[in-house]
Amino acid sequence: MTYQPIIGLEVHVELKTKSKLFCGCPAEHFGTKPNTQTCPVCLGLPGALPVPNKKAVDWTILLGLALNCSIHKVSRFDRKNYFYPDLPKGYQISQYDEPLASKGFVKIDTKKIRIRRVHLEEDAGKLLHEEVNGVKSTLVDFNRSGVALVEIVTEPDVRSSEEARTFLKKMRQIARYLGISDGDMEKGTMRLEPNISVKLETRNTKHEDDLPPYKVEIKNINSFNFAKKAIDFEIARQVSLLEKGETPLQETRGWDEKKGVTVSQRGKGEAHDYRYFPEPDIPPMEFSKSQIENLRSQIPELAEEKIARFIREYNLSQYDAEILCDSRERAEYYESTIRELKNLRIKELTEKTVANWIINKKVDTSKVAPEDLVKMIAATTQTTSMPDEELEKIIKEVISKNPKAVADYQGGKEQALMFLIGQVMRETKGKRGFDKMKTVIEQRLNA
Amino acid sequence: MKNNDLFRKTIPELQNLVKERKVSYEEILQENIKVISTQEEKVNAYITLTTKKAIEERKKLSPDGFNGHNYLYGIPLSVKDTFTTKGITTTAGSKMLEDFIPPYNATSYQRLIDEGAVMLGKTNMDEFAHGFTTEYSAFKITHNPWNLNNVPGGSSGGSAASIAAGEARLSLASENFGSIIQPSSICGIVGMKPTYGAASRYGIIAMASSLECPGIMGKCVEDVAIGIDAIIGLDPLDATTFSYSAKNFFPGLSTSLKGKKIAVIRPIMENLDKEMVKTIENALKTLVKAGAEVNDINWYDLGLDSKIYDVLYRSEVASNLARYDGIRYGYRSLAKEESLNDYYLSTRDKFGPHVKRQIITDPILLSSDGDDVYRTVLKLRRRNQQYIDLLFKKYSAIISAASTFTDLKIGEVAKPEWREKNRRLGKINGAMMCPSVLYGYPAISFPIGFSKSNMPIGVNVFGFRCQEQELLNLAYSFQEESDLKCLRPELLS
Repeated sequence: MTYQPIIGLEVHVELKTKSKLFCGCPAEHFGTKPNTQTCPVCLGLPGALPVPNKKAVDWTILLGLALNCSIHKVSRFDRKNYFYPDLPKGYQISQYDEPLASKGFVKIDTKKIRIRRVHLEEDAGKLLHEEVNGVKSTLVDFNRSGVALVEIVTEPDVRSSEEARTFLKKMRQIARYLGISDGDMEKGTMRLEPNISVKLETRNTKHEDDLPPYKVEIKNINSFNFAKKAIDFEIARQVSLLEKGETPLQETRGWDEKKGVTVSQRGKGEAHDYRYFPEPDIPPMEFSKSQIENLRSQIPELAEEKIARFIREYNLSQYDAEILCDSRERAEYYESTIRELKNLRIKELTEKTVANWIINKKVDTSKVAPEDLVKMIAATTQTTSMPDEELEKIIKEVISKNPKAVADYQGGKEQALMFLIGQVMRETKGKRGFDKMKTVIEQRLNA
Repeated sequence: MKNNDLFRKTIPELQNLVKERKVSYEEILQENIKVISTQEEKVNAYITLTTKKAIEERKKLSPDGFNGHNYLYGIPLSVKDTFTTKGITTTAGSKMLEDFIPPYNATSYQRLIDEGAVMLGKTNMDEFAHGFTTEYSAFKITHNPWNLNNVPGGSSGGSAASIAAGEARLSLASENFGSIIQPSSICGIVGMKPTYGAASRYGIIAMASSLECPGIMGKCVEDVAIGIDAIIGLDPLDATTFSYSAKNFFPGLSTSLKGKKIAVIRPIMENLDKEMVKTIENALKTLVKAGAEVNDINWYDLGLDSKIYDVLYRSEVASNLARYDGIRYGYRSLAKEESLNDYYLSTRDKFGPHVKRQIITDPILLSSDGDDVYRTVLKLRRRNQQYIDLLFKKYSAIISAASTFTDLKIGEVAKPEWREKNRRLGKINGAMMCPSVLYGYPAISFPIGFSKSNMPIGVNVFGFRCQEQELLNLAYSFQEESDLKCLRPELLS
């Protein structure tokens, strides 16, 4: 007898649009003074009306396309009704039965995780529990109220906490590649709510579709680490109940990071009836084929395709290609250095060597220009054609001109050394070998 | 010129008189302020008066301010208290918002004052527009200027009374279920709601978002056409508005109805009282004289529209009123509560009983078990709309009654006998009021005669979307033929 975890994921991604979803207030709310970014619309004042942000709608479609979803010709907003002090209108404008995108999939390693739906909704405000004039109080900050939030819901295809984490990282990578969100779990711009149940697998049960008669939703997970821990804890908790012959209760539980356990928040009986109905203040949205194709053409080459191409074009290993493509910026930096390599016609260097350099020598891609990097690498293989005195002189000058980089290096930032080497390189124009240069600079700096 | 003579002038006539220096904007303003000072305590049209502010604003006006287009320049305005007005208390007739001072203007109000209108005050209404007699205001009961024992209709009863009494020239009101049409008719004035989406709802304290619509009340068709001209147009703050291509209703007014086909909903007429039917029949004769062809038409189930309306309205109302939780503004219970739920209960207890009833019935309609009700109703709504849209291929306007009663005493509606007697009429009332509201058609009400008890009788005409001009012309043609224009209640003269 084995226990099979059945996990479905709900991921919320906060879009980094300039303004909120339904009004002109700034969307960036992290670290802002409470209630300084509000207006009648996001405060839910009487008579104020929501007007959808086109960019947020486009970006949600973009994400849907990147997740291989179908985009619906007609989509609309609905009201999700419930009371809570951080919800100014007494309802959240969300999407119910006509989301922007549905029925997609994401590949993690060789497995497909099916995407059920991708929809757009508004975020709520934030509650702050503080003492005001000696009285325990709850305060509300509405700066986050109305910020655009995309919800991605998977089918229950995830089987372990490791898969969940891989999926989450993939979501973050896609959002960042598309440039639509920072996907930062610590800052709350990406949030995870897994639905977990555990199925007893006997030899006879081959039906993958048979789901357990309950599921447990986990809230309050705010890091990749906790995502794994919370899921592992919950699976173990449910398995121990099942072993005692009990069926876990259908409920919502919260992750308590201090105790490292999940705690019951709301039972099935207390489940909300949200009384969804179509948002009458916003007409249904209609999309033509050409609008959707136009958006599709805006999707950049995503990590998956890039990795395959790097392996093919540059002869890289899967491992190297994955590291280079982890972020769009690093992948693009790598390709710029390859272009420089070709411009400079340095035949003795291979794309693989450049990749190794970027990966192993921890090049700070924001400081070292691709051209300099190529020269730097080339220098390692060059012979001496400049007197030592001249080299010493150049190094002395570079050190005196770049006190900040020197201080950084002396403060322990290894990357500053690469920057200084790059500067020396500019002057020596490749006339001295890399290793010699590095040794001399280090000697100077450590003297 | 004597104030008495000013009462019967239209806004364009007033502007000409100012131009010729026969009347000043000061006199126009004072004419209304004088009526307010002598009659308002009997009429109770206003919740908040802003006459002092109006006098200050009047001082900024130039006698040459009228440029041939801005007809509202210096014209005294009343505004239903459901429209938010920056820095001026806006209550929606509810204790929940007794002290609410909005930091922003409703778009329709903004457009009227942009043209130069001067606001005299905020008018009384049924709480959150739930009612049809203005008796369900949390603050006061408005009296009909034609008979102070009578209701003025509702929910825009304060606006209608303010025009009929001469306490303002023009009123900004809102329509939801006859909220403009019915009080206009009972108070002997002209009222119009434009096509849904033609005028912005931004700043209307929402009752039922997909149904309500701002509109204008005035003493005559010219004035109302001018007001509608001013409020219509795309608003970036309201996603349901559209850009209205042909608006110039006042200059476009014409009395000729030649070649126009008008339909009368016969099954409704068969259910009304004889005096009202006779008055409507006479009005139809006048329209025929002006060149129109009038035909009887049948209707689908008379009770159907009000059933559809009921589901949409109750569902939206509960949701729209959810924001009144006392956390950011409005009434807040000071009782120390044990739980969040108790806090909501004691704060939201401030809603009037009529409003509470509406809120409570919603969860039944929208709960996950009842999910199908709402969607079924949306389908029916589309079907009926297609039926009426087809009628408009043939007819330029459809006529029905504007009110099921002419002479309703204050307090009468609360009596069980009245409710019993009017059960049947309630259904007819729905058939009269719902089409324009449910399907977004423009509608107009104008006076066509008087009852034996000398109460005004109006008629309700609705037309195809964006055909406001057709309706205004029909009303204008009748007005010019009958001279039922700028009617003045004798009680107050």
